[in-house]
Amino acid sequence: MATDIPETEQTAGQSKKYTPRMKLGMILALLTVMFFSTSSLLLIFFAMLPTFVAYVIDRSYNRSNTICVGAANLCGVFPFLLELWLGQHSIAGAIIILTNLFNIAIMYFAAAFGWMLFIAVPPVVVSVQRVFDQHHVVNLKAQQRKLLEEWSKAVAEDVKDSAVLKETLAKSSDKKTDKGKADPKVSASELANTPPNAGQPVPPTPPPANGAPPSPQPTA
Amino acid sequence: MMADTPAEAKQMAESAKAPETNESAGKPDDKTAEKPTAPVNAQTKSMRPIVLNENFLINPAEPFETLDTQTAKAYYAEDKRDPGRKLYALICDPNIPVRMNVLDSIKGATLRGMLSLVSSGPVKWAPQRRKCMALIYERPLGGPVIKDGVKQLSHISEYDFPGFIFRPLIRAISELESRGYAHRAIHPSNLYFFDEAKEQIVLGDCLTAPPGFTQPVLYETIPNGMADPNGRSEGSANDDVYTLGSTIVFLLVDSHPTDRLSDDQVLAAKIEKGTFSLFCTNTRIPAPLLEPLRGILNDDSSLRWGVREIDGWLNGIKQANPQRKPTEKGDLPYEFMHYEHVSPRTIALAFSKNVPEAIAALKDGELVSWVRRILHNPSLSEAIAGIVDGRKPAGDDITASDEFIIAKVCILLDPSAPIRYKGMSFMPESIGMKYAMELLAKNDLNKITELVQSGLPEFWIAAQPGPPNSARLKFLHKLYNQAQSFLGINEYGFGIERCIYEFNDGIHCLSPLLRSDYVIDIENLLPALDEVANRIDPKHLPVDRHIASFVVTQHNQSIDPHLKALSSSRISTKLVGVLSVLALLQWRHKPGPLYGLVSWVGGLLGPVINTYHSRTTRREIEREVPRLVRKGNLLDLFDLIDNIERRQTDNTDFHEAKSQYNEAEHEIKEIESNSAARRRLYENKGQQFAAMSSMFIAMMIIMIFLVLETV
Repeated sequence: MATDIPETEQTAGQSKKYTPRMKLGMILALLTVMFFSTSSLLLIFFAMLPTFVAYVIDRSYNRSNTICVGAANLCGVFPFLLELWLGQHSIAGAIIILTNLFNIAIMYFAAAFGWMLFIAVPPVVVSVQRVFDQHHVVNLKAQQRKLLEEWSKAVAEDVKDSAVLKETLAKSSDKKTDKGKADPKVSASELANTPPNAGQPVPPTPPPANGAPPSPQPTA
Repeated sequence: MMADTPAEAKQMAESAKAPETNESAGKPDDKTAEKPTAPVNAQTKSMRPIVLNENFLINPAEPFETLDTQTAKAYYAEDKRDPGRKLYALICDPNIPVRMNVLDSIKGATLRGMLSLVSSGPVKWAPQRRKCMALIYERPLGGPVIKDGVKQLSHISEYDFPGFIFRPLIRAISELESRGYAHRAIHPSNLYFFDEAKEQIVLGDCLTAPPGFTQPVLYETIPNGMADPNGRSEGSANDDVYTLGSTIVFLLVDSHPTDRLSDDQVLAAKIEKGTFSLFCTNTRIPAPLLEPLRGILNDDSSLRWGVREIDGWLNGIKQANPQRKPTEKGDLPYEFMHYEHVSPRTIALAFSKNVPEAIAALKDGELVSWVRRILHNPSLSEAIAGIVDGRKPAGDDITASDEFIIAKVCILLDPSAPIRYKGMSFMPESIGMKYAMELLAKNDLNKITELVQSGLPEFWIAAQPGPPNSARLKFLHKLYNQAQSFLGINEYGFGIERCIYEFNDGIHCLSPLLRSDYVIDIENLLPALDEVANRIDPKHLPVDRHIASFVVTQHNQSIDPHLKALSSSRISTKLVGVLSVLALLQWRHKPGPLYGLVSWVGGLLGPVINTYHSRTTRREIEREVPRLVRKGNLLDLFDLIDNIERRQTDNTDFHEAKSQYNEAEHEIKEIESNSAARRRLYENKGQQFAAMSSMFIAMMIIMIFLVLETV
């Protein structure tokens, strides 16, 4: 779950530079739209002003603010674009739409809704993520406890300041004082008290199948 | 013809006859050796006969005091297959090593002129509550030649000596020589009449003590006589011939010329006069015997008669009798310790026993001048002066000590004498036996180690006259190289213990664990340890330095990895070493199930089990151990404890677990400590989420409008 955190935020001022070819493409597209529908361009220009403002002041990662406001703004503008394209498709038609304050209000309120979305959603996401993190830490500590239980404190020899290790050691020392036992799980010492010739003798097993003599392992 | 015995022999004979406190306390029946000779106390009387090698019965309740030796007690013995056979058993002192190499060579053989060894082996000897070595011999029906200090030779004329004594005994020496050994225990108290009519003399036991151990100084050659009883050389037939000559002189004369002399005086007299002159001058030796005695008692071993010459003489062939070389003597005496020495050998003898006075004498330079001017030996004089002048300033270095300087001077003055250092005196060949005997006597062994490491033996070897590449000197050179390398390694399977087992063929294991056992071969080691398990504190390790060295010496394959593990300072590794050595022996010698030993070892394995990282694995092994203990199989236990696959899996899993733990710890720390950055990350995510939501809503609404318009 490790997530890379970008060292610096990519802001509007540091946004990706458009290549000359892209700029040329954009100008050509604009000229094409102007040639075919100057009225649409006029409507879009005035109706999408909040988006342009958002674009100018945007400092967010990946221009999320612009996208958020732009998408909502477009949502408010689109019905009027349809009206223009399907009705009086002329500059006059565009002016009629734009001069209607109610229309402008719808378009700008839509943009405002987008802005509100941009302001309200991130804190909620942060809170949710924090809750997830807490859960994750609890799980990790449980995993560490399990590892300590199975492999003893040697498993944590590289991280001496581990909170789980300290907690486990404190617990085991409490147990020691309570029970006077070093490690209840290790019962090898009990074997020392096994009386000689204990139990019923059974026939001996044959030597190892491979017939090799026993030899101590260097790992011991 | 019969007379009083020399003081030493008397003492020896008396000590041999001294009854042991709790075993026999009555007067011996001195009429014959046929019947058990001493009443026994009630406890011993109630003891049952002990079985040896399934066929021989030894009865602790029927001792034969007249057949006792200085180092072994004699008891009635019987062959179950042939009850009429006349036998007796010698029960050896467990604190004195038996000559196993000679024993193996003569066991079951009929040697002319010597008691036949019928059988042998360790037995559980109830009177001592431990195992002892028992030797079954043919019983000498005529009893000992010296009984209660009185010679039993009244029926033999001194003119019968060649046929009666010389011939059988020289045959015995010859038989042993053909097997590569020497008797080394020829003295009057060890001669027996084999038959009831007392017409056949035989040599007694030579196995119950190290070579020459029981020999009075009187009978030993000069170099061996100077050595401590536990430091005498294995010797050769040549030495046996000399001791036979000394014995014969003792049997011939009524009053021995050395009767009133101490050991040192005997040695000094032998050096100054020569043994033959000392023993045979002014004594009633029959003239026909003077010739062989002159040859036999020659102090120069290279000129001494051997078996062949004596055989020739016995067959009537005249033998050449080379003249004795004149002893190196000074015209004027050198006075030391109120004695006027004329021979450098007696000076060396006196120096070795009076070190502070010897150092003072060396410092005044008189000895150097005496050797040069009176002894006319400038090279010896220069060598002594070189040692004294080249002495380093006193310090921790033992080569600068007074004892070391005197030891070197003594070697120069008498090169054939034993090495004499700090009160010890031993022939260089007997280093292994010296170690063993001093250990059994619980004496300080550091002196011997110090001597070996100081290079004194090499100095002794270099000082020997004759060719430096002689077989004896080559052997000694190799021996001390080996000893130094063993002593230089302070690990299991090396050190003093290794010297003991490497240089004493067939010596029993001297481990304190096996104190009441008598383990002479490796096959019996595990059964003995299995018995030890029932009586010892289970916290002791079943393999100690003695057992490790005993195994190394007797096992014919390298066990270096086992020794490395045994020598580890980590108890877990040491325990794996213990288990692996024992498992190897069980695998190799197949002594059957060893319930006690496996239980003992199993109880010690806690630290080894704890070397596994996984607690689940540990618990599994712990559950399994008692089951394997009941099987008595060390191999299975070893496979359980030190299984290579299990260990590798444990290690791999442990490293994986470790990296998991570290990763988790890293993540926890990152989450907990890096909150501002994380907040920014989450805010960015939130903004992206908001943008995506906005786009999604916009697309939905646009689609709705398009659909509405189309409809």
